[in-house]
Amino acid sequence: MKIIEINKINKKFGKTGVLYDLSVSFECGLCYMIIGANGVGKSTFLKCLLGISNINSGMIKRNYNKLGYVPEKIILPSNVKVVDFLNLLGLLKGMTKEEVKIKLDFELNRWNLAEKRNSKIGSLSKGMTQKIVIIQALLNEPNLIVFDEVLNGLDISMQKMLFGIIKEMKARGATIILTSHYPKQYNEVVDEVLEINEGKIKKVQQFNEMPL
Amino acid sequence: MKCHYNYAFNKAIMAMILAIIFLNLLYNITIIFNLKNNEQSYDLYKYYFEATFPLIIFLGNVLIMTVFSYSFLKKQDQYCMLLMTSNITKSNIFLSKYFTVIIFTLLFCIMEICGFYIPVFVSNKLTYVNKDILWSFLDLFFEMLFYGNISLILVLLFDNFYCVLLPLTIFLLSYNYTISQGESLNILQILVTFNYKTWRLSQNYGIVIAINLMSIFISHKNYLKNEC
Repeated sequence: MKIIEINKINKKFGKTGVLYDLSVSFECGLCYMIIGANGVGKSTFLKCLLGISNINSGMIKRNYNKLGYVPEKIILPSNVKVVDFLNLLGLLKGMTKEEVKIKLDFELNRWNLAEKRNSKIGSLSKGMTQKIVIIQALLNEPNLIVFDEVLNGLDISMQKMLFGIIKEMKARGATIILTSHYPKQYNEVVDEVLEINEGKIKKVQQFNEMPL
Repeated sequence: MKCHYNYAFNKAIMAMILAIIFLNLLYNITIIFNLKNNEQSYDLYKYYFEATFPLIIFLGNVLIMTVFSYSFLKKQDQYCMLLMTSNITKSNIFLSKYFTVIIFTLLFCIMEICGFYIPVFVSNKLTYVNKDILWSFLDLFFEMLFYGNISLILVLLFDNFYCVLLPLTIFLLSYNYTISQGESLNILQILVTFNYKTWRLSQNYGIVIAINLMSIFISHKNYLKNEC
């Protein structure tokens, strides 16, 4: 079953085109990696796919109901407590207070952040802040999760744990889409690699065709 | 709204706001204790109002222009990506954020009313609440919205904090003209300024509300068009 079907989308910033007649579809239960040189539009493609950015033409059919997103760059509110921030996003995602509490305790323990639950986000390191962004994406057990350069700031043990989470998600039928400049780091979890080049997307057959 | 509040009103902004209100209060206390008792009650109010209200208008407008611009800068609005992936529409994000800033503006006006009347009653020189002055504060609220909305339109168009300089210049020109000439500066009947002769706005509420609604509409459209 296809979780997203993209048909001939075009995206322009002013007069500059980024995506041209791009068509692709994503199946449930698979992990996709999007690669491409700097500035080819990987993040833009992800934002269009999620409906955060508007497209100029084309059609995107979305069959997911729960979504998680870890953007490449984001500024979180520095003067808010970790637990308050995650609680708020959990409730906005439609979870009950009890569900949020259980899931939050689990995720904070899993990511070694239990002691920091009452700390202000501004007092955390870059890696810890990245963990918060990942936790908010995992809160509602999404059936589509999008990671944009997710390993930024994560140490080796946390990277391994994330790969474990990706495997768990795949096993329960969720789709994972991620981007990276270092694709071989993900070879144990990725099923398909797609490359964006000159506004189009194409499937890369083998890992050894990839740059790193 | 809690989310918007936490983002937009950080420690620095809150400290600045409290400092403004405190200094304003000190100024009002200084003015009222220097008023001579032998004047008629109404005249005392008139002197007190005319000595303090221009400063309140100045501080209020500058503050609100800053808050509107700062809150809607793209850098301050990045979290909208997380909200949009949490089933909140971009339109709702804009409206709730705008509403948060409006509530803040309203609270600022209420605090300024308190700052205006506390010295009045503490000094025992005046013992009643002048209704005209309450209307003047309502007018101040609308004037603040007017300049805040202009700042908002510009920030959403250019995504640069320095855009606030344009409405600030318009405000200072009209402010200076009004203070020196004693009457409002009306350009094509769309500039909303305070008239110190009448203690009221240069425009009636209908026009002021229409201008503000139009500004919200333009800002909303630009916000939806802009990328996160």
